[in-house]
Amino acid sequence: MADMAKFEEEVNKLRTLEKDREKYFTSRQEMEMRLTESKNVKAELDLMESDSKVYKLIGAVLVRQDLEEARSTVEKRLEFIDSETKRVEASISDISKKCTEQRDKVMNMQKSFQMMAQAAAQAQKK
Amino acid sequence: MPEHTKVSAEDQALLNKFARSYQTQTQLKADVKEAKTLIDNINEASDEILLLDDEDSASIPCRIGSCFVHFNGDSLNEHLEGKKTTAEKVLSEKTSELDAISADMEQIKKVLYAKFGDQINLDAEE
Repeated sequence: MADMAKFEEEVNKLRTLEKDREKYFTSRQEMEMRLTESKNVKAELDLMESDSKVYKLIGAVLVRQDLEEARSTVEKRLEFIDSETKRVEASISDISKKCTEQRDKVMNMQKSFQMMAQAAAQAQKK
Repeated sequence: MPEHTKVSAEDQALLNKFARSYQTQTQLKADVKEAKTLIDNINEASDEILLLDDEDSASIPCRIGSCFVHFNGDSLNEHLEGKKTTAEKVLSEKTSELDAISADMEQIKKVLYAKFGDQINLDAEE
């Protein structure tokens, strides 16, 4: 009975780890979308002449913005996204490792329960 | 197997009410978030407008419906103030409704958990 409680505890731990991993995967996906969008913006800005007008949409308002300022903002954003992506990648590999270890642990427990059950069944036959 | 508590018609009605309240709560949370976003955008836009020089300030496009209408700095500030006032009123109304319905749900939870204990689960996952 104590074994059963221990087993359930380990299974819950595994479930928690898997949920956390899902969160990180979602984070990475969002970041990839943002990266793509920012790269497109940068490409468009690079095509512009120095006397072009650039506007920034804030809510419902288009506000005139300096071209160089816009470029540097996008550069900074790309740098930020890059470092965030690296951080999330590290978290993903770390938690994936933990998931694998925990899953192995749970499976081992399961196996030992099965063997105990078989042994009990054998004993009953005699 | 523990004996299952009998479910009366009143209990079922409470459960149904809880489910409806949960849905309403979710919608209200989304409304509150939307109102906050709008206010943040208005604040940010107002700050940016202050930084514009006289030439740019003479003509600032602002989206109304599906069109952009050009305002000068002063009239746009008035317009944004109006929108902000409206949004803040909506925010406080929705927040009040949200608090009221959350309190209701806590009360129902207390009653149902007292009777059914761990035979039911009324908590949102994560």
